[in-house]
Amino acid sequence: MKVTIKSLWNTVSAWHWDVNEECCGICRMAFDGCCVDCKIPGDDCPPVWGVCNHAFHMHCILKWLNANELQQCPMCRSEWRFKSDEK
Amino acid sequence: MVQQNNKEQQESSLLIWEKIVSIFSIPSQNEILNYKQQSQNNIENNLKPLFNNVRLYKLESLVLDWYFESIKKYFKSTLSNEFWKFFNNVNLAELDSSKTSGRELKFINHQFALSISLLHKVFSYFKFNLFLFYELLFKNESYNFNFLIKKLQDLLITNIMHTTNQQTKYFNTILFMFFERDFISFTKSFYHSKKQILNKEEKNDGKDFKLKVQQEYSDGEIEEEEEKEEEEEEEEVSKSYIMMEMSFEDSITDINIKEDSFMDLCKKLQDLNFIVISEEIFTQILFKKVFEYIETRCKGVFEKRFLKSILEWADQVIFKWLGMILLSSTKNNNNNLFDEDEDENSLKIFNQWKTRLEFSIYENYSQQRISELFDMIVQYPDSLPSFEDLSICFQKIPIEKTMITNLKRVLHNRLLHPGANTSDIITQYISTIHAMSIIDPSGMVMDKVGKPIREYLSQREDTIRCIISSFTDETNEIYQELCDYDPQDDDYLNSFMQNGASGGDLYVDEGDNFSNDDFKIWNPNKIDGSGSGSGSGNSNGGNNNNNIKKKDTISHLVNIYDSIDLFINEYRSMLSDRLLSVVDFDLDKEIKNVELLKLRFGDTILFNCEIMIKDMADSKRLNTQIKNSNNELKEFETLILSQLFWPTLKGDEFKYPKSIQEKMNLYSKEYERIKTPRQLIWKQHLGLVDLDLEIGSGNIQSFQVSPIHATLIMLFETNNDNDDDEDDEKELTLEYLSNQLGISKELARKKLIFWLNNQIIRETSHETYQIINKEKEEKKQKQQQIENPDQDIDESSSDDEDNMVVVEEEEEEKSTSAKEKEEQMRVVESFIIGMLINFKTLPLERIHSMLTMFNSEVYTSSIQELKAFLCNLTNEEKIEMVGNDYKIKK
Repeated sequence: MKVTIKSLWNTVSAWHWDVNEECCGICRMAFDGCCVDCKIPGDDCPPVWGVCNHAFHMHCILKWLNANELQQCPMCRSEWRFKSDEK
Repeated sequence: MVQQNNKEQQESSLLIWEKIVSIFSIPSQNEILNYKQQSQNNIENNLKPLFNNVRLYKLESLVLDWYFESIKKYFKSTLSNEFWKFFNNVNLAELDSSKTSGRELKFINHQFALSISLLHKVFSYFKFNLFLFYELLFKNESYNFNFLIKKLQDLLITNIMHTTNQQTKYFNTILFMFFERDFISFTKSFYHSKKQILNKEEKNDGKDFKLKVQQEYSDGEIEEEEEKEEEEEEEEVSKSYIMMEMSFEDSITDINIKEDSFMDLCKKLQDLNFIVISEEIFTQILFKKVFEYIETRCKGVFEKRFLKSILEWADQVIFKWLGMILLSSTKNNNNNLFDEDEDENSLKIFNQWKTRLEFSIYENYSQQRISELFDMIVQYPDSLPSFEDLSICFQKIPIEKTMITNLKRVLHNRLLHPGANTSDIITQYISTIHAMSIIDPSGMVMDKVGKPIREYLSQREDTIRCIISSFTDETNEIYQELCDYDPQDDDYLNSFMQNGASGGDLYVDEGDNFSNDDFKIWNPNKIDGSGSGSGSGNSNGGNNNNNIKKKDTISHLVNIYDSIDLFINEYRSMLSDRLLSVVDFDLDKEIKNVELLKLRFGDTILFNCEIMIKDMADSKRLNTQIKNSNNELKEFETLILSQLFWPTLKGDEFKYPKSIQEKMNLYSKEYERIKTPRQLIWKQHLGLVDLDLEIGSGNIQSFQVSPIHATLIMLFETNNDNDDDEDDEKELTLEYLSNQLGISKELARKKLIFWLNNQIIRETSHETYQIINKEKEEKKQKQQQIENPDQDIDESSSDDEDNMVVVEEEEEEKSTSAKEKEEQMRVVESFIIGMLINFKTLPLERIHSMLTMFNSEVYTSSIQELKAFLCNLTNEEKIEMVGNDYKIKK
């Protein structure tokens, strides 16, 4: 008996941000979703990491940094610097 | 002196009295019948002085009383007998208009006419005498002659017709039969004259005119054998009506002759005040006729308007006849001495009866229609005309209540039972909505009628699915409505959204606008719903004056459930099913659908669906990108989902075939390279595989299966490329299969069923499976046949089954809400198990109360739902039931 696969093997997958936490520490929305201001998940609303290894929605942390003079991570109060440059 | 005067007076008054008595004592029957009015001379010379004397001695009232008393005696003792003698030969007790033969009827009617003329003669005799009394005695006093006549009439009726109950009954029967028969012959002569007119006109003006006339007396009131027009049903109806009439043997000429005598009789009856007294009889006859007419013409025929033609018919037939009887006195009574306001009076009565009859036509017609409402709704929109008729009745007479109860009952009996398809119920529901909006634009009736349907539908599990598929089916009228929907049109839904949507904060803005302006111009609905036009319900919703918010079909359907979320969730899961399981779906169509739904239900609520569709487009783009960058992935495609926006996709994990797994890993790497820091999570149970099975040589079967089925069958593949016939097919045990796939034995067995059903593999021995190689078996059989040629071989059966492809068995068809419920219960499962371990045994009520006490956040189910769930657990052999208590199964 022979099995021939015609055309394609259609598969299904889901994407997932490679983040340790489920959801953003600021807006409490899932990273796989999007922040409160966004509607479309994915590239339009990516997470960002600080050097302290805490991740937030990019929009959320930018809002936070704009609103607070102290440039601190909202989780650990250490100075906020984006990690992405190093990666 | 005074005494003597008194005595003289007494004597003379006695004299007068005797004289009066001698003149006015009741004469014999013959004398009455042959009685001629007394000459004016006689009155002047004899009676006038006598009555002057009566007045002088103030004997007026005494004389009058005496006279009435003697009349009464005469009526009772003599005339009554005379009257009933006419009917001696008739068996009155068994009289029944429907059973009596025509001849008997004729006889009775004849006797009736004679008896009435007798009564009338007697009556006029007394009437004249009373008139004399009146003229000579009371003329100048405020005494009303009509009062005297009335008294005489009453005496006649009470003493002759109504002496006993039985006589009253008999008399009414006779009257009924007489007038019914007359009415029938009248209608017949009416049709006949119509026909004659028509024929004449036809001769004169040719066919064109005939058609015109026909239109005038529309809807086949003219019975015509030569009618060549197609309207067959129409003809049938009119024919049947004619047949009904013909069954009474009475020739048309007969009636024409009779007409005058009939009029005379009517006049007599009118004089005797019989007609007004026997109103009930007329009402009976006419109501009966109206009912028969409406029933024969309208029953079961819904695609024509009847009401107008019925009213026309009533005008031309019933009212004409009634007018003939009631207004008979007006025609030739101009020279009548007595009654001045008689005309006016009878006209008044005539008009009263006319309105009552018109009312009864509406009532009868609507009754007829209401009894057929269900069929009318089934035939909607063909039955539109009858609904329009009914809407006119609805405005005229209060039929709301009967309509609602009747429709509810019939819907309950004929529609809302387990035998009806959900889709049929929904179709019928939609038709009902349309139909009721014609009858009652305010929607009040629909609210009440629709309630049981909604309740029933909400209990059916596949209702949402049916509705949603009608939303997306282009041929469906609901889809059309969705397309035609203009959001400016209707603010009803906005308010609905506010109440219905759970994500309340999203609607605050809309809500503010809504409540600020609207409460000031609020007008309550008129109860009778006459505020808007009677016709088609498409009233302009944008107009503020129109206070009736038209609920359209969709909102009625959505209203079946408390919230719109349910619908959207179901739509989402159906959409995801379509997107995931159909290879060549029409994405443009799905986009259009989502856009339409967005327009209707608002953007936010359909947001998930939009993302789902976007995922499809995005993955297509990424697939091409990856294909171009890596040659090895040319034959590989994947859908990449934004997991959170799709319904929960659950399935069994298993090991893919190596070749595919390698590709998947490669793809993941490629993806991670392009989209860092994103990763892919494979949904192994989803997807579709098109494959060909080649068993033996040249026997190829195609299947489209899920990955797990594909992987399963691939295990049976023989690696031998030589295509050696001698090579036997693999025999694989269940254990081997489940190990290879990394799944449980039960699951493997379940998945094998598909291939077993399709006759690709068979169970050779217990838990051992093998591909069925028909070619080889046939060969073997042939060999056997050669060896023992006597053996019978049943070949036909195996041939038949060759092409049969059994559709993959559906996972249990539960709607998502039911699945969600079970998900929810699964959460508390461990809690229940823990409880049972600690307490050994617990009754249902205890479990329920403990769950509500300790797990109130997760546990919101009712006790019935818990019972159902525990039943599931019992079936899964996790717990068992002992008496009324549950305990852990050991």
